[in-house]
Amino acid sequence: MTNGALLRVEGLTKRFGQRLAVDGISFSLSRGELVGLLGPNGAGKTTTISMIAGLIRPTAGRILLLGRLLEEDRTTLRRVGLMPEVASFYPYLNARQNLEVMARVYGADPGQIDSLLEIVGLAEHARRPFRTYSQGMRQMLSLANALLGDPELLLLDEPTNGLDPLGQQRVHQLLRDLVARGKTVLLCSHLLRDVQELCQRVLIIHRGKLIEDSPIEHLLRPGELRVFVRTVADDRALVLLSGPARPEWISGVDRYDDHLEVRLPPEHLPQLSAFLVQHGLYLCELRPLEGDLVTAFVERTSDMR
Amino acid sequence: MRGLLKAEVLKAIRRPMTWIALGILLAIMATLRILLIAISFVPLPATDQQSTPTNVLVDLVTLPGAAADALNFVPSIGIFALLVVAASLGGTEFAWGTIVPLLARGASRSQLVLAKAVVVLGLIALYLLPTATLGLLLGTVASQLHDGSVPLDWIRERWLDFLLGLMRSFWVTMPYVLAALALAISFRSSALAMGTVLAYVIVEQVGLSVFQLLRPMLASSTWSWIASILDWTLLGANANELTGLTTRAFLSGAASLGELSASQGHPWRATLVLAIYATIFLALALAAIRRDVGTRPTSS
Repeated sequence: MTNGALLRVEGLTKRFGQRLAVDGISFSLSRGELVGLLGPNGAGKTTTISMIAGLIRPTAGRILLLGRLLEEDRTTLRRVGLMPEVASFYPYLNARQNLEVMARVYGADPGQIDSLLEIVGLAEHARRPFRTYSQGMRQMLSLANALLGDPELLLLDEPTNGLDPLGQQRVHQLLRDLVARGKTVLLCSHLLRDVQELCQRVLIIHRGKLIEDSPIEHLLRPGELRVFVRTVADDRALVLLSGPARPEWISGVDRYDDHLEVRLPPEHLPQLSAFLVQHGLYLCELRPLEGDLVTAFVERTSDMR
Repeated sequence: MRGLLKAEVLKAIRRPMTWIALGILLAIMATLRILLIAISFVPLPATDQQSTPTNVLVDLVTLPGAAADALNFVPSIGIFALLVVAASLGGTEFAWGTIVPLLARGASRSQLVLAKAVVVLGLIALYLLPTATLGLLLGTVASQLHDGSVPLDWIRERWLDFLLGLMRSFWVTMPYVLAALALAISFRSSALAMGTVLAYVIVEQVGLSVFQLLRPMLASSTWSWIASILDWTLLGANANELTGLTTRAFLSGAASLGELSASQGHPWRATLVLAIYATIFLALALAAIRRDVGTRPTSS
C-alpha cells in the first residue's frame, strides 16, 4: 500500500443482518489511477462504493480519504464524485436546475454547470425536464453531477450503462482526459471490454472478498501465451505435445474439435512451429490467442456458478 | 446549512405539487364559502330563541366572523393538502433515489432534515396567507351582500386577535406536517406516511366528536380521569383548544354551533403539548435519516 494513497480502504466489512456483504476488503488508490472494480452480481461492489461515498456505514474497517479517516472527517467527501448505478434526479426539474440544486448542496460553483453540460453533450437538452430524458441522457447527467466541483476521486458505477456507442466513446475519452489531469477513478462495470480498454489495475470482488488486486497485464497472463494450432494431423500432434517427448517449456495442451490450444511462454512461440515441423506435422494454422479479461474474470469467479 | 436550505427552497418552489395543492385549497375554500353565503340567504326554521341557524350562518360568512373560518381553514381542511406536500417532500427523495446524490458529498444528514423542516414550516405560512386573504375577501363580499356595507371597526379592535389567530393556525398545523415529514423519512415512502397521518387525523377527529358526546357521562363518573388524560395528550384535542380561541375571538355565536362546548381553556398547555409533539417528530426524522442509504431508488 502506498503512503500517499488518495483512497485507502482497510479491512472494510459490511454485514446486513446475517448476510456478510463485504468481508474485510483492503486496497488503495493512488492519484491518477483508473482502477476497475469487478465482481459477479451481488459480490459487494456497490456496497463497497456506497461505503466509500459515505452512504452506508461500515460494520468494521477504515476508510482513509486524502489521508483522513472518513468517520472522523466527512468533509473530504466533498472531493469525491459519485455516479450511482441508477441516475436519480428530480423529474420536474430540467438538467440545469437539477445540477443547480446539487451544486448548492455540494457547495460547488454553479457557474461550471454550462460547461459540464457541454462536456457530457447535454447542452442542447438542458432546458428539458429530467423525466423526458432517455436512459443514456440520464446517465450523462449523472456523470455531469459526479464532476460538479471538480472532485479528485470519482466513483463510477456502470457509467456506460444504456449509452449508445457514441456516448460510450465520449465517456471513455472523458475518463482518459480526467486521468491525464491527475484525477483518480474507481470504475465499477460489467462491461469487461471497457475495463480492459481503460483501466491500469483491476480489483475483483467475489462473495464479499477481494480476490484479485493486480495490474491488468498481469491478469491477462502475458507470462503464458495461448496458441491456436491446426496441423495436418491434430491427433498425432496432441500425442507428441502432451507425451514424454514434449519440450519442457510447453505447460499444457487442450484438444478442441478442429484445433489444439497450446500454452507456453511467449518467447518459445517460434520454437513451437519448428518442433512440430521437425516431427512432420506441417502447420495449417498457428496464431497466438489474445488474453482477455472475460476469461480471467470467469476463471476467478466461476465457482459460484 | 445555507446551501441545503437554498436547495430545498428551490425544489419546493419549482415543484408543481406545491402550487397545485394551494390552488386546490383555494378552490375548495371559495366553493365552500360561496355555498355558505348562498345558504345564509335561505330562511331556516329556528330551534333556539336567541340565535336562529340563519343568524349563525350570517355571522359565519360575514365579517368579522368570517375571519375565524379564514384563519382556521388551513388547520382544518388545508391540513390534508399540507400533509400530502410534506410527506412527498421527504418520501420522494427515496422513491426517486435523489437522496443518493444529496448525501454523496458528505452533506450533513441532520442539516438536511432541518432544512426540510424549515421549508415545510414555510409552506404552512405560504398556504395560510392566501387562504386567509381569500377568506377575508369572501367575508367582505358576504358583508356587502347582507348588510350593504363592509364593517371595518373590527380591524382596529381585533388586529391582535387576527395576528394571534394566524400564529395559532401555524402552531396547530406544525406538528402534523412534521409528523408527515418524519414518517416519510422513517418509512422512506410518501404514500405510507400520508396514509398513516391522514388516517390518524380522520380517526382522531371522529373519535374526538364521539368523545365530546360522552364527556358529560364521563365527567360524573369515576372514569373522569380518562377525559383529562385525553385532553392533555391528544394532538387533536390540543389543536382544537387553540383553533377554538380564534373562533371565539371572531364569532360571537360560536358556542351555539356546539363547536366549543368542551373547551376548558388551557391555551398555554395546548401550545406546549403541540410544541412537544413537534419536537418528538423532528427528533424521529433526525434519527431516521441516519440509517444506511442504498444507491437504488425505492420506486424501481
